[in-house]
Amino acid sequence: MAEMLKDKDILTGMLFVGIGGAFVIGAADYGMGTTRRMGPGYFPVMLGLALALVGLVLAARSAIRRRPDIIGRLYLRPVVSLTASILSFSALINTVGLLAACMVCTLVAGLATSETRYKEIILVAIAMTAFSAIVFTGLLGLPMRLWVQ
Amino acid sequence: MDALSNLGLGFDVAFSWANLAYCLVGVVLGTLVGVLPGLGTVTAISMLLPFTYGLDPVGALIMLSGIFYGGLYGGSTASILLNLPGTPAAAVATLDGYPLAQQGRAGVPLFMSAISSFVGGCVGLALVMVAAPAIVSIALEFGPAEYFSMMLLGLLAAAMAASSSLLRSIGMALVGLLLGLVGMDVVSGMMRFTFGIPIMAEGISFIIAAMALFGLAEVMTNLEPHIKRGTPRRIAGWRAMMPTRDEARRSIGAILRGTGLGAFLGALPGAGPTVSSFIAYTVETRVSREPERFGKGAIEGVVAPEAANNAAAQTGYIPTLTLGIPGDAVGALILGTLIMHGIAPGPRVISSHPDLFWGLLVSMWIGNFLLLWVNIPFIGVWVKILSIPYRILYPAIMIFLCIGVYSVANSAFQLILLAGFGAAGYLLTKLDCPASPLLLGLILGPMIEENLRRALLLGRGDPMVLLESPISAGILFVCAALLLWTAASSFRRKRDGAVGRTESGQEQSWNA
Repeated sequence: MAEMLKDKDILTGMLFVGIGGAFVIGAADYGMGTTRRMGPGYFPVMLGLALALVGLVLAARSAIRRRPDIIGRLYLRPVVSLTASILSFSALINTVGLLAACMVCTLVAGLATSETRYKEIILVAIAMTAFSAIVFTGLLGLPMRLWVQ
Repeated sequence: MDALSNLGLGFDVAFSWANLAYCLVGVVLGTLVGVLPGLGTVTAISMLLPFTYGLDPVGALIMLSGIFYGGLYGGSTASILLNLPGTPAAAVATLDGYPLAQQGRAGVPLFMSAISSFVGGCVGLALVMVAAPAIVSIALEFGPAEYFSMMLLGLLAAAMAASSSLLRSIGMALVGLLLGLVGMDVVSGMMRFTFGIPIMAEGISFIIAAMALFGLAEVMTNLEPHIKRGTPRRIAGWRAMMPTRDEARRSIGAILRGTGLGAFLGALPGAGPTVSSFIAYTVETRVSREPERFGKGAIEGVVAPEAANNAAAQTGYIPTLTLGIPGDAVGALILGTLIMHGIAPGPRVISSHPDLFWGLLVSMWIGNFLLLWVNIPFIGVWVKILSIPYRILYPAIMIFLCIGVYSVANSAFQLILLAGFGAAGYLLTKLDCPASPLLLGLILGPMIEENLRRALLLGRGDPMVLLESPISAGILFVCAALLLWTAASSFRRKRDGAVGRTESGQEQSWNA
């Protein structure tokens, strides 16, 4: 049974039921209207129910078949490092500026794999920071400040 | 005469210095990302989309399209030299291209794939020029019921092509449709699913979803520790590129078959370059008198799929530009670009923006010429680029993603969305859920809802209105037939045992 809980179809099915259900609950207050004059809630509720149904069928079919296709290992290191790298960019871009955001973003991204080498990633960070400052703010003129005034 | 004046307009637009430059930048970037495994064309287009915001719509489309078909030219390079497909559409080129490279004749498939890509691309383009205006004249009669049915068919076809697990694809398309509804409801003005965050009123930008699902999630997957990368061997000069007389003779038929097949399949919604290349390969093994040569370095196995994917890439513009219904993820991005520049997609695009349509077509033709020059004489440069390690490449991708998303709305909040969608996308990849139906649903969501509402309003709330028009009824019939056919064939596959399981896993990764 524990095996079946790691089955790809069952996990996907549960995910679909969850997402569909969340949209149905969220849309319940929006006003259904009639088929002729649909309210803002009509279409999302229908889609959400359909999604939940698809999820149920997917999970049920796999539960009946009982031949689990186990989900592959989830590697947290790249996911966590890259998420952190983006969040650090988002935190720094408005407070300090592009130069800091690029440097930190690249360096944090470097944590995602054990293949990274210290000297190399620092060089990449400097190069990408210079490239972004020159190309994105200079040539393309994107409205970003380089450093806090 | 009309066609001539249209072409004239196209030449005027495409031959302006700015547009020539965009075209060149596009095809060079396309070749670059095509060559690099782990950086696909969809990723590259979504990464560069925000930066084309400042260009005029023609320039933006010319450049993004250049990346697309340029990527198809470049994609075979890594397949042939490293046995690693640079893009999903080039995956088949590994089957016979890599054996040729192992025999020390890598130059031949590289040269021949450029030539066959060129033929496929040019024929495909010619077909777009003829077919698109004809389709538009029919599509102008479409009402909301026909539009709703067309989009449903587009979504369904894309879902079927994206994964062998139809339920997963349909589920993902539904998730996309639901996410597309986030924001202000166009009819009532009500805010839906925004959690009171003001910036969410504009909805979830397809650019962010594309960058997260095709960019970020892909980097996360590529960084899994067990992914291995090889280094290419050197290839000798010009002479090593020439095929033998026998190979040249056999290539001609294969190129023509591949082109025809790709041009036909590409125009159908859902069957993009990747699917066409696989089918073209299968056809070649069937028509060949010596099928045993395939997999050991048969040149037909390289040229037919390469011609097919380029022809399909071009004819794929037919549904996207005439009906506003994208055939695959790239079509969805092109459509999104139109919307981003304030051009409502649909049959009126060609008549109201002739400069855009004809300019784009002529520029793609120029682009195919440029690609011959970018690819054949400079093949050595691309081979060298192949040896850039991924550990240097991916931090650069991250910077592009961050700056790109930030520049969409100059808001740090969008970056949080990017991170969230990226992590979700990684999980979805692990669950074998294809991302392209989600993206298509996200773009089509508001349009499908609007057309369904209008159709039902006109039909006084009776859903039968969708079946009253013969065109709409016909399209819905095709949808139902497709569903039944898939259900029946998946049932048959299951009966035949567990073989389908491993096959589906492979298809999945090729189409991701």
